Amino acid sequence: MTTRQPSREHEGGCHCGAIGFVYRTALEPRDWPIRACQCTFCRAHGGLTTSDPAGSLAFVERVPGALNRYRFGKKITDFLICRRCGAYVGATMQAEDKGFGIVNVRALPSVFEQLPAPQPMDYESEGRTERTARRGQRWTPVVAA
Amino acid sequence: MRIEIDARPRSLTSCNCSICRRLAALWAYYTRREARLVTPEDALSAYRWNDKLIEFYHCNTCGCATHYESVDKNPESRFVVNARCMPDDAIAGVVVRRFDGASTWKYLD
Repeated sequence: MTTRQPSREHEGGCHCGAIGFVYRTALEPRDWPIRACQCTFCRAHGGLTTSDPAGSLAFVERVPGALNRYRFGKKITDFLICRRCGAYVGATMQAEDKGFGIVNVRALPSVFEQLPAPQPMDYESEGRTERTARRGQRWTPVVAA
Repeated sequence: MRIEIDARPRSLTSCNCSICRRLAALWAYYTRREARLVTPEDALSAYRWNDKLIEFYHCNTCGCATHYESVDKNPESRFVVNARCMPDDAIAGVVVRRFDGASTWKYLD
């Protein structure tokens, strides 16, 4: 049973502090969906991601130039990596002038131990339209920092 | 990025310290005699923190953590490779040990 409480703010970021984010969600950490995408990028980074379409997400680049926006495959997604410490903190995409994102919960030490077991996900067969539609429904709206 | 190793890893270490947790690395321990970077070093960035005795390397393009090394480099010094960059068949069946780098500095198994 999913528990809805007043929205809480979770601050996370890379190891060296150059890239941060604020993730707001009313979901309790034990109810967060944790996805282990099986694509080559996510497997190499051991990415464990979450999102809440009813929440909000803001990324901040505290050290100018530290944010590496890496694109591959369909090239519709920015994978956000710190150039200094190498941490993968999350990803964003634009769809119809709106931004959506996910966070890598490995960059959220305050709640990491409370999270449920990750579910392996395979999106390889998705087309561009299908992928954009899924993320529009499932990813977190991105707001200004 | 390309690293050559002389042998398959005997075990892998998953550490929960602040940097290893973020990098999600599965460390395979070698010395500089047993493993080496083939790619030019300028394709990678090095990151030092805390006591600054080791350098964590990641790819400048995709950010993947590749390996860490002792700052003091000699043939017997550490060259620790992230097995998440290895092909699946190189690590199939290799045991993963959990290391509590966050607090007790001991293996948890």
